[in-house]
Amino acid sequence: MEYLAKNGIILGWIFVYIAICLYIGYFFKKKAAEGQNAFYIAKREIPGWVISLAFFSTFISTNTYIGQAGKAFQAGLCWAWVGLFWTVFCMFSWLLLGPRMRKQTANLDSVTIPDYFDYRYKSSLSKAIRTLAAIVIIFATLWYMAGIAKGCAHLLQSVLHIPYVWGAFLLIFITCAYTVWGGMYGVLWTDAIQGLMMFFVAIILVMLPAIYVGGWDVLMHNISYVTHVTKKGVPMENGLVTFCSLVSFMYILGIGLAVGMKQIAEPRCLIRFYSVDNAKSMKFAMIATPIFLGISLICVMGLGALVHGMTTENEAAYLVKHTDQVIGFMLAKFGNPWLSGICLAGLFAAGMSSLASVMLIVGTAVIGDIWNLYKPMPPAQIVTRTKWTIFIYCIIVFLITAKPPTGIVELTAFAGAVFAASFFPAIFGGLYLRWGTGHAAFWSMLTGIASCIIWREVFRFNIAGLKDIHEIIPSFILSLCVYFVVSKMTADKVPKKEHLDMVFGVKEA
Amino acid sequence: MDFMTALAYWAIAILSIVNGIVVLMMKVDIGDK
Repeated sequence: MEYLAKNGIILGWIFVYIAICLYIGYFFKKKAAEGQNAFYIAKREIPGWVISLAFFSTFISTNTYIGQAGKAFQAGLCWAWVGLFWTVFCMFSWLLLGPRMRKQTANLDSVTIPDYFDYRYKSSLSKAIRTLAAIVIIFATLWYMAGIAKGCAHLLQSVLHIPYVWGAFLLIFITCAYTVWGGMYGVLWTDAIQGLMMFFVAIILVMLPAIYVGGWDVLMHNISYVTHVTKKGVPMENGLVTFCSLVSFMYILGIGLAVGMKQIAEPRCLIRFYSVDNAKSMKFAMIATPIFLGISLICVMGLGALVHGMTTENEAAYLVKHTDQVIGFMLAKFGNPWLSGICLAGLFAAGMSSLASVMLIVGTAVIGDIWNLYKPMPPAQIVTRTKWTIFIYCIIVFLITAKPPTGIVELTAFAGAVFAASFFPAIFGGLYLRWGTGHAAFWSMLTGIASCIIWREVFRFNIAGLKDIHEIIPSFILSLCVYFVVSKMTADKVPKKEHLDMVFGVKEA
Repeated sequence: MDFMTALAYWAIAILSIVNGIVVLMMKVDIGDK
């Protein structure tokens, strides 16, 4: 009873939020079961505002609201530069990829990212590209999902004292339930609700330090010169408000690119374009998504630096070494259970929206892009088997999350770099370059994966001066070059003109 | 806050608005009827 009296309000908010998610999933159960098109891409009939919020909430995860916001405690307000890079990539994704991807995938009747590669390039390597892309999705996603579940489970443990394993279990299987029930319909509509919550929670979060100390002027004065020390024990002085005095610009650039580029390469983001219902909706989403993302990032990316204004020297000395605990600390110190409950529900929304999206992507990759490709099955079985795959994958993710390997956060970031380097050239080339070939797509994909691994394992941490150069930078440039060179070398393998006219939607005169 | 730090916050806001104006002036074609 004492536990309920203390945590009742927070638990109540989380309960209401979970009930809404489960209801939405159940509501779309029948509609999602109508076939592969319905379960995988919601029959391309979702309004623009839903897609916009879904893209925003899928891209942003707990990693942003806890990890990145907390990171500003070490790096200062200039950490917002990371947010600037992310916003630029969001615009790039919607302006350059969104409309073309929607158009070409509809022309090709494509329902997954790997099958887009197959149908678009129509080469002797198409099957291999599709399989390779599906394998990258299955393995890279495993670490991503475990990383997100780990973050949320730790949060439940620290705030509500729910044992870590139980927290991970609840999070993974509640998300699994509404994903399996509602398919893409359930995922997109819950994502939209979650996106709205995250947007308002970002605004609430940034106001808490200012309210706590008595206003923005007092807060900015407090952080303009601090005696708190850095991780190495050096006084920060005016570092929190001075550009790159606590962190190198190369490091900011690395995180800005590695994470931001997920928006132009990760299937969980790109698949959103498939489901837009019409051009008007697309236009709305192209305008609204960077605004949702931009405002949220303005609020969140410098938040850790603002928390310095409400900490003592001893608290700061601890938090600077444990930046993942900065936001939890801020909520606890503010001490309002109503606000804590709303913010916690928002943080879970951030985690669950990303989890649901990748669960669905994995299910479609295993069944649609591997099993059905090599051993075709009746259409009626595709949805059922996709649901079972999602469930089994969730069990594997839960087992990994229960005992996560060391460095899972790094593995998660690494997975993002692999996606960007291996998928982007094939996607961009497929959408824009009629002379792009399947061989180029295949070899650029392999180069992207290999160069990410080699740069990280051989060069980055073994050669002085390369530590801050994230693997995304060399591997992205290399895989792009490979795409161009191999396309030119295999110019005779370009698909037939009639096929390309159909893909690009060119009408015959 | 120095100029370069403040620039990031202003740039996010201004770019979002510029993006909106550009999209409004664009003809968006997704192949639907």
